[in-house]
Order: sequence, then structure tokens, then C-alpha cells
Amino acid sequence: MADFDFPGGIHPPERKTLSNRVPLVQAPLPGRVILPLTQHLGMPAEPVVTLGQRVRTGEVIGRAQGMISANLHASITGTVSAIEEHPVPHPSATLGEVRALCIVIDADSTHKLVQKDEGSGELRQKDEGLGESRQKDEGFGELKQKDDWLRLPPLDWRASDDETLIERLRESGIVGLGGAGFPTSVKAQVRQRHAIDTLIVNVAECEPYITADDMTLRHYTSDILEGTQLFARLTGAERILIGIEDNKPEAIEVLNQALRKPIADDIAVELKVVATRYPSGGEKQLVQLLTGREVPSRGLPTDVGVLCHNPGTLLAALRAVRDGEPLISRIVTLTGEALDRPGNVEARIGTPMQELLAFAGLKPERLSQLIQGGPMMGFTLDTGSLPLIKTSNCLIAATAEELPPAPPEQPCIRCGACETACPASLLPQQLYWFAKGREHDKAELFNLFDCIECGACAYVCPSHIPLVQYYRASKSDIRAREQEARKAEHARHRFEFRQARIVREEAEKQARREARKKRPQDSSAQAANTTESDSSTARSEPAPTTADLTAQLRKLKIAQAAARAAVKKAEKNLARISEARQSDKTELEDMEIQLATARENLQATEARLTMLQAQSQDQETNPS
Amino acid sequence: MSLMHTGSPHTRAATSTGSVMAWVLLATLPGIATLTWFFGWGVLINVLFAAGLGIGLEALILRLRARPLVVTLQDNSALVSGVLLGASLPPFAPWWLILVGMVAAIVVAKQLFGGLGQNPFNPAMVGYALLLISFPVEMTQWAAPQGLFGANAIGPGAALGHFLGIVEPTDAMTGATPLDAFKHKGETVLASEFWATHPLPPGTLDAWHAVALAWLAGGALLLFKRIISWHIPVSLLGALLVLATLMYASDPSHHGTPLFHLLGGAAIFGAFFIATDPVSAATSRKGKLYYGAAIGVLIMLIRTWGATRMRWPSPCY
Repeated sequence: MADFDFPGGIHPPERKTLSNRVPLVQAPLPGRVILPLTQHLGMPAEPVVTLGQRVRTGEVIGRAQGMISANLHASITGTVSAIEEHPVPHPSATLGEVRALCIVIDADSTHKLVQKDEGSGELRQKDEGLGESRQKDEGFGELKQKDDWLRLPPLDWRASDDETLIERLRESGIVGLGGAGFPTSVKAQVRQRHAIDTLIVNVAECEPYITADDMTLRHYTSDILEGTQLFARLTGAERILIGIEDNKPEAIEVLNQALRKPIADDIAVELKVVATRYPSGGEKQLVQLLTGREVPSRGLPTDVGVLCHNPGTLLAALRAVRDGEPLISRIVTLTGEALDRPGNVEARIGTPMQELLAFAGLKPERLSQLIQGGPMMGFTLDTGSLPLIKTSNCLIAATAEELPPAPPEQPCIRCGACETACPASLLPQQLYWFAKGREHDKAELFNLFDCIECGACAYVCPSHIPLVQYYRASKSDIRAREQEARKAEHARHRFEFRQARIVREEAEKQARREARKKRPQDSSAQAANTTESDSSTARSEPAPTTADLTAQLRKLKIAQAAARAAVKKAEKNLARISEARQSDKTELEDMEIQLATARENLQATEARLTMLQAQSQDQETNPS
Repeated sequence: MSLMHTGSPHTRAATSTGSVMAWVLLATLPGIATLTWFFGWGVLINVLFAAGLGIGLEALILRLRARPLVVTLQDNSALVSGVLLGASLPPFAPWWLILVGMVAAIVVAKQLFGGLGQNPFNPAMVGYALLLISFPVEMTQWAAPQGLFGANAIGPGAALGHFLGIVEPTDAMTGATPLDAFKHKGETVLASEFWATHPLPPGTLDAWHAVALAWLAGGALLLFKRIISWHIPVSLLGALLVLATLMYASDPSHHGTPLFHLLGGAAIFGAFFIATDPVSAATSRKGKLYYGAAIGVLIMLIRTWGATRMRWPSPCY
């Protein structure tokens, strides 16, 4: 059992046996995939394919833009048939359809999907090895659809340097598969800013229903263990902990067996079994459970020297490095009582959800609610035509009896059950009153933004108050207000950037002019030394004296150092902002533009400096 | 497909305000049964009448306020208010006394403030306080512990007579509560001398102890079911005991023993059933500790220096 504890928590019915009794299988290849350009935090990717272009599985079709972004790859072999807006799964979808730019790929139509037996195709566990063994996996059953891969060259991560590995992660479009989809390559560079001593693999999977991490771990044990070593290498962690709830005895057994024969030179991996209690898999809660360290308010685990990863992410990262395979598939739990054959499948990103649900034996007449994620933190979807995305870890096709609508909201009787359940030690009831009365300042004062929206408070509320909704509304109100303020600031920063660019261009132009001016002078220097220098001094206004030049040079050097520091600072700010999951696009853009401004300034100073240095050299060599 | 949309979480524990209140009602049963056992049918009549009035008055006001009737009544809160006030009234209380008390509780203290969850004070206790101030005579006629079936017991018919105001209770039937009697023993009488005169009808003190323990059993049930947390009862009774011990230690001749203060009145009832009313109590764990302790101190101050002739069962007596 764990050595430490976190406050609060609840014990909702686990309902995991619905989907963890059958082995992980490969989902049939979809005939069409819809690939949203934003499946991650940060900026959307930019399409780099054209309509009608043929693409191979694994080919880059969207390029990351900006620092926080991720590449997008074709997940099947076929033709780009559309680049258009399409409804996508999104937490805000509860309030209405959310659309995003998507690249649609149609498989070559001559080969229609033929499948003899839906239940077949059990995924063989891959022991070691590269792409070929995987290709065999894909050739299962009677699939006729062409699946022509484009892979990057395999890397031996033990022999590669950090930059190569991080570049590979970026190239492969790896994002966190457990939750928010944070680009993994950025997370892998954490040691530039934080000293990390502990890597935690989060297999707590505390949400009811979901068994994807459990099954991933069971089927890809050695790969995930290797993935932990890879990330320990990248982050400099000296300790690897695997946090898992005690309701996954099979996975624990498999892990224990694997850990009994450790590989030499590897960092020891400690398996930490924790009692089943929601939300032990919350990042901050798990860090507290396993290390006793409390993540500061509005902070991240990296602030206390810990980095958390989902096992699926580790697997995807290892495949990207070892096999050269980009992130084009993920393991997803298909569950709920409206399915005849619930279970876990490895499916291509972009597969329409209804195909997966049909594969799992959906009974449409029984379906009352379709949820992506778990019943505690997931969100409902309008339709099954939405594509599976990188962060879709679970689809629940629930019947009306299974997840009935909440009874009518009744007045709060201030019983305090929410406070007892809150894992973040907040006062949910107080926050509720503030949110209801739109007293946002007070809500912030009571640490509204430390709420992880786990839903434990709403779960226990005897008055059936949808507390999380109140908090979300309050948060978005506050964010909207902050955004207004930021917009003005942003406009100012854009203006500053423009100014800086003009100054830089001017400086560079001048430098070029000077250089041009000097060249003919250099060639004719021996011939007409005195006259040339005379005329040159006459043309360039009052001739700078050596002392003048030295003073100016010094000034510029100082300016250059300052500009360099400003760039560093802007880079750091951007990294910090992009790390904080709650920051939005404008904030990122603003930081990027500040960084760009700082860079312009630096360039301008450098241009001027080179020019002046040339001048002073000139003066030293031919004193007039 | 027309699928259901809800915000997370999509699953909820099978609790409701109604079930919480139902557990509170269940937890009052031992106390009410013991009270009835010792003090007669009047107690039961009070409780049932007050509970019925609670529902009736709540329904009336809800209708006037055009609020959903069935859903709101299902929260059982009016029933709890009625039962708590009914159990607090003297066994000879006439019907109109209960009616006035319940109007004050449900109409004034609760619904006029906006209904469940909006009332700044515990409705049942507002009703009780109003009655105590307005009708001190009726409110201080407590019964002697004559039992349900004993030789001197008052039968259900006679109890109903008192309730309807047809029959006036005789002096032999009534008696003071132990706390009240002790408080008004007089400055010159020492505690030992007071007890030596057997100032109460026989069995009174035992009856009160039994009732207090019955409430304690109900309170234990609430704690066990996590309907209430331990903070308020423990800090309330703790503060009361500490202060009672200090007073007793400083002057045993004029102060009751700590045990007398704990079990001789309605301290236990108040600690588990009144002070823990979530709507009017403190919310945070720390706040509950302060809140309970403050009530405990207040009880001892009123018991020792209070001027009113308050009796059972404001938690002070």
C-alpha cells in the first residue's frame, strides 16, 4: 500500500469487469479516417497535404505550429478526400457541437473491408523487435485493405543523444494519451527548467469503467517498462514509481513478474499499489500518494521534482523511437451496457466512433448516452460519427438504467459532504455559493482554480447539485474577464513587435549599406587611400572618433547582452505558460509574440554591433 | 440518434436530502420512545401532531409560493422540524401551543426566508424560543415520570384531553426538570442539602438519564451513517464538560456535577440533533469545532447565570 495519503475521495461503483475480461484486440482498419488538426493542447497543426494527395500510413499530413503543438500523421493508407471543418469530440460539446479543421482520408476504394469473424484478431504481444513483427500483427484476419507504412529509421535510444530523441518524439506527434494531450516532446525537455528526481507511471486509472491503461500494461508490459527507462533518461529521474490501484490484480501480477528479472544498468522500478479510491489517479493526488509531496496551489508536479506519464504515452514514445512509428493508433476502452461485446481495442486515430461501437456490438435502441472518458470526468457526445482522437481513452455507450439522468437539483443544505469528498482540500460548498452569486474574486480567493473538476463533490451531494458545472461556469467567466484584459495587452505587444521589426529591418538595411560602401573602398584602398578616406568621412557626417566608437561599441554590447537576456526570459515565460495546462491559445500567442519581439530586438542590436565592429576595425587598420 | 447530454459527473451516489432526513427521523425514534415510556402518551401526541402540521404548513406555503410541491415535500425536512419541536415540548402541551410553534418554525423561520437551505436559524428552535417567551407557563409544565402503564399513569384518553385543552393537568402530574429545580434551589441551600430533600418526584433523575442515553444512541446512528460528523457533538459536549468540571471543582456546594450537566437535561439531544442542523451550523471542519464549543460554553453560562425559567429541552435545560 502507499506510504502517504491524500484527503477526501469517494468509492463509486467500479464497473471495470465489463471491459477487462477479454483480451486487447486490434480494431478493423477504417475505410475513412477524420483527423482533426487539434488533438492536443496548444496551436493546431498546419495541413501539409493537398486534396487528392495519396498518403501512406504514418506520413506527416499536419505540421506543428509554434512551440506547443504536435504533428499529425495519416493513420491509414489512402487519398486525402477533404480538408474541412468537422464535429470533433471536445469537453465543450456538452453545450453544443464543436467543429474543427480536419483532414479526411479515404482508403483505396477497390479494397473494401472484408472481415470473416469480428471477434478474431487477438493482438499478439510483441516481445521485442522492430516494425516487421508489427506488420505481421496488422496482417491479421482477412483484412484486404492496403496498409502501406512510412516509418522513420529505428533508433537505439540508449545510444542516441537527448536532442535526437526529443526531435523524434516531436516528429512522431506524440502527446499525452491519458488526459489533456500535452505534447510529449515539450514535457521531455522538462530538465531544462526543473530538476526531476522521480518519474511516476500513472496506472491508477481510478475512473470507473475505463480499463485501457490496465490492458495496455498487461499486453505491453516490457515495452512500457522500457519506455519508463527512456523517460527516466530524458528527464534525469533517479527513481521510477508505478502507481496502480489494487483493483487490477492481473496487471500487478504481470508487472511483478516482469520486475523480478531486472535489466542491468536500468533504474530500479518500484511498483506502488494503492487502495482503490477515486481520484487517486489525479496527477496531484497520485504524486501525494506515492511521494508525500504536495503539489503547490496552481502548480504542477514538476514543481516538486516529479513527472507523471500515462503508460500509453510511454508505449507510443517507445514505438516512435524504437520502431520509427508515429502516433497513429491508441488503445481505447469500449464499454457500457449498450454494447454486446465490450472490451479494449487498439484503433487507428480518426476512426469514426460508430465503427468501433459497432465492432463492440452496439445495440442502438439501448443507447441513451455516449460518453468519451469516464463517468466522473468524461463528456457526453452528440453522435457516433465523431472521430476517435489521440486523447479518447474510453467510450461508454450507456443505457438509461445504467447512467440515469440526475434527479432535480434541490437546495443546498450545507451538509458538508462535498467538503469531505474533495481531494483538493477545497471548500466546495463555499465555492458553490460564490459561483452562484458570481462573486468571482472570492471564488478565486478560495482557490477555485485548484479544483480539478473530478466531480467527487457532485457525486456525494444529497441535493444533486451539479457542482462541477457551477465551477466550470465560474472559471470560464473569470478566464473571459482575464482574456479581455490580455487582449489589450496583446494588442500592445503586437504593436511593440511591429516597431521592433521595423527597427531591426532599418538596422540591417543600414548595415548592408555600410558593407556595400566599404567593399569598393577596400579594393581601392591601396591605390587612393587618402582621397577615399577623405571623401568617405565627408559623406558619413561627422567622422566618429575612436573613443566615440569604443563607447558606442560598449553600449551596444550591453544592449546585446540585455536583448539576449530578454530573449531567454521570453523563452522561459513561454515554456512556463505552455506547461501550465490551463493556459489558452491567446496567452500562448501573446508569449510567442513577446518572444519574437525580443528576438527582433536582439537581431537589430546584433546587426548594429557587427556594423560598428567593422567600422572600428576599419578605423584601427586605416586610421585617417 | 438523440442522445442524452449531461455535465460530468454522469453518475451519482444513491443519496438524497430525503434519505438523509429519513435517517435523522429514524435516529429520533429511541429518544422519542424513551420519552414516551417515562413521560406518557402526551409526548407521542405532540410529535405526531407537530410532524403533521409541519407537512401541512409546508405544503400550504409551497402552494402559495408556487413551488413544486411533491419534490420539495419529499426532502422530509418539514417532517424533521415537526418531530424535533414535538419532542421538545412538555407532554401536556395543548394543540394551539404546538400550532403556534410550528407556524413560527415552518412559515416564519423557514419558508419566509426562502425554504430549505435558506433559513439562518434552526426552524424547530425558532418555534421553541418563541413559545418559551410567549407562553412560559405552558412551556414549563413538565410531567412527572409516571410511565405509560403504571398505577399513576395518564392514559391515552386523558393525554388527549390535555392536548385538546379540555382537561387541565393537576399539580401531582407535573414536575420540574432536574436542572430547573437545581438552579432554583436558592443561594443559601447547599447542593448536598438540596438533594437530601428529594426535591423531585421519585425516578425523575433516572428517567432523564435514560432519555439522554437514548438520544445518544440515536446520535451514534447518525455518526455511524455519516449523516453528521463528530465535530459539533464532541466539541459541544467537551466544552460543556470542561466548564462544568471547572465550576464543580471551584465550588462543589453550589454547582452540579459534570455528569449531572451531561445527562440531567437535553445536552445530548441538543448536541446531536439540534446543533448539527447543517443549514444553520458552521460548515468547515474547523468551523464546526469552534461552533460546537461556543454552544457548549453558552449552555453552561445560561445554566449557571441565565435569568429565564427555561426548562427542558432547550439544550440549556
